Amino acid sequence: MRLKFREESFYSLLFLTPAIVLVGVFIYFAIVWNVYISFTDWKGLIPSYRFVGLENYRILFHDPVFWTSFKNNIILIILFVPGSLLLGLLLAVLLDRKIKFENGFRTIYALPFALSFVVTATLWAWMYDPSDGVLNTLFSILHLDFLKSNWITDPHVALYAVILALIWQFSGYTMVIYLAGIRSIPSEQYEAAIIDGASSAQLYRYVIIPQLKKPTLSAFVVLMVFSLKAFDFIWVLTSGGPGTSTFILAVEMYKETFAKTKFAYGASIATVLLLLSFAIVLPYLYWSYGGEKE
Amino acid sequence: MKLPLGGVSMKKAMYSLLLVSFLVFGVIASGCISSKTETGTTTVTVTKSVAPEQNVLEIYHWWTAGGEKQAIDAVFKKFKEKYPNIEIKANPVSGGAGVNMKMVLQSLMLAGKPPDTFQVHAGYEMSPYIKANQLTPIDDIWTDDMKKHYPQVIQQMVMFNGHYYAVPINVHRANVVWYNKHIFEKYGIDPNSIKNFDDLIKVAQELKSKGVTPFALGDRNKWPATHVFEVVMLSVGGVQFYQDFINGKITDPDNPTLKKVLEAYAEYLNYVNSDHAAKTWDEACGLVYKGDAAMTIMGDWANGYFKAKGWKPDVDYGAIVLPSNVYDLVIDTFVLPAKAAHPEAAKKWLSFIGTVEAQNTFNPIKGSIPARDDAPLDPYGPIQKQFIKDLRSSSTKLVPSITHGSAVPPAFLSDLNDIISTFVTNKNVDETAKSIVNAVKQDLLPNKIKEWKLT
Repeated sequence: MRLKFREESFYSLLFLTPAIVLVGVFIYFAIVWNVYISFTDWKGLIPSYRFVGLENYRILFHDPVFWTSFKNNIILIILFVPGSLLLGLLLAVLLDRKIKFENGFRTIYALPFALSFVVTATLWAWMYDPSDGVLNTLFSILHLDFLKSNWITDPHVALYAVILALIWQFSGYTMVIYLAGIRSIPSEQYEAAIIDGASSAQLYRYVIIPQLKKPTLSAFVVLMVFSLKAFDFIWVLTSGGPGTSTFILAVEMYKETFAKTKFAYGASIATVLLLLSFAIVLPYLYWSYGGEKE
Repeated sequence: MKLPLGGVSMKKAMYSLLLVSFLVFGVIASGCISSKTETGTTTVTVTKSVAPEQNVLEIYHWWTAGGEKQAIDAVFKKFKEKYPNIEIKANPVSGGAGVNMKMVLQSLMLAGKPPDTFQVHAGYEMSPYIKANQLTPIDDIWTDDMKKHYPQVIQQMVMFNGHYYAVPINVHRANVVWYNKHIFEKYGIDPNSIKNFDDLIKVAQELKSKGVTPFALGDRNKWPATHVFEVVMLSVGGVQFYQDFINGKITDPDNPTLKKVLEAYAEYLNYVNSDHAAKTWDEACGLVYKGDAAMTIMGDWANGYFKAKGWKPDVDYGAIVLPSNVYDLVIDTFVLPAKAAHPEAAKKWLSFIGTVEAQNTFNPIKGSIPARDDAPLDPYGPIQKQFIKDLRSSSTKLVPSITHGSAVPPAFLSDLNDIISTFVTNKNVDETAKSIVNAVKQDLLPNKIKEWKLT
């Protein structure tokens, strides 16, 4: 009762200290350390901290595999993020129509997200097998042979096959976010719109979807960050192959660092990834916090 | 104002909070310090357990699948009989060819806490550890008896800068064409007629014209494609070229032999199953087993696969060695880390696996053959017996495998896997030759620490 405001903030600081220390050491220090390593010549299992400036970056920007990975990463972002958002929105809208067994459907759609990437990647390897995989067999039975593809074995298709599988896995997540967003809209607004004679298409177009900016933003950032660090799913499904056709930056970073023990070079790829995520997260922070003040 | 502490007094809460943050700090600090205190202060020992007991042997290996697990367990049992006071702490890390274990070991090594001994392929796969001075030479383990009974090339594979670093426990063979005997009989193909690569292609043409897929390949994990590349290189390029290749002497993208090898491989690829990039090596063996393909090029661990399926050697399936006078070696060894906590126990283990007793316990179950040339043949099957005779014959040329980590530095192998995986999809000989030569300059030569002498 005698506690003053300053004391209160002292306590909150005290309670936050363990978290700040842990995050500080294991995330922010690690980030700084990584950037520092990328300026050294560390190769092999003995750490070497000889400063070589931007040498690693110079080699990196002349490495065709880096540019393949970079390009693939951009394609992944461009297709995967809107794809997951749209499919998730569609599922949420369908589930919102007061259908029977909503809980059951919701669980089914959200389940893939609860599964480990190693499990789903193994599953999709089996789906995509060109000769006796699920998809091609299904298309044969349905006489839809024109839809058959070599999927992950064709270097021109493999990346898109990977993206399709990822959209499947993440749409359950975006569905949950959107459904919560739709449900949080006050029912008065629906009623008012319906009294005004809005059709259900108009209801979504003018009342519901415009209010989903927040859930879209938060899902957007999660998906973006995932597409930058997606590794396990791709590693298990294709190992980056055929050739380097499904390499993304995280896959190349892993190979350079651990298969080739080029620690400094791997760190420079990680730094590029860090800059890319800044490029995504900073506008988001600006938009979401800056927008609130208005 | 009151903090929501549920009846606990403020003072008490403060103390517990302080304690918690202190503990968290302590854990972090000890994690950072204890890895650096090999010679350091005594105060840190609070977080460490009591002084290490000498009678423990901590082993890392990757033999976790059916037969191989039983094989290593049998060796452990024999070792225990001999040294009842040593307690074996085995840490199996699953993942074929140790793909996952390498990562675990690298972190253990960097933290300065390696196991007492671990499994590693002979040759360059151990070079990152040797370059970092993390392995101890074991010249005293290599008795004259061992030197006499291990083939010269195998000794070369565990030697760096004139010192022995590992003891081989087994020998696998990479250059084998496995075939479905029923298919060969049905189409009247004589396996003895296949003496070289051209013969193999002729048989493939014949089978293809009759609607049979000649070769099964499963290169989803990339290395099986490199494996075939290696066998084609030995068959078409010859042992001398192979030696030049692994020594980093092939630096001209227009090297005619390199191109010839790639062209031969491209020809081979005309006869493989179309879905090869979706399959794994064992699924490719499965195609041969089911009769969907006639042959597959794979190491002799395929023998274990066919046996596990209930097939009988020389009845249901057979093996053709290509090229017939070459033994492409894949060898598992154990080493002694420089910072091993129990080096004495580790040395006993290393001496033990260098004996006929250990090798003839392990290999009949594992499906490989003993590395020593004086191990009796009785416990082995017909194909293994043939391989043992080949290994001991003076007309056989022994070569270290590229794909399985022995012949070239790991960085170059990683490049090669990607390059060959691309080649398999586009069959572009000129591009691939260029990429290979670039990789030789970038990742083979800078990491080269030994010169192979195979001929």
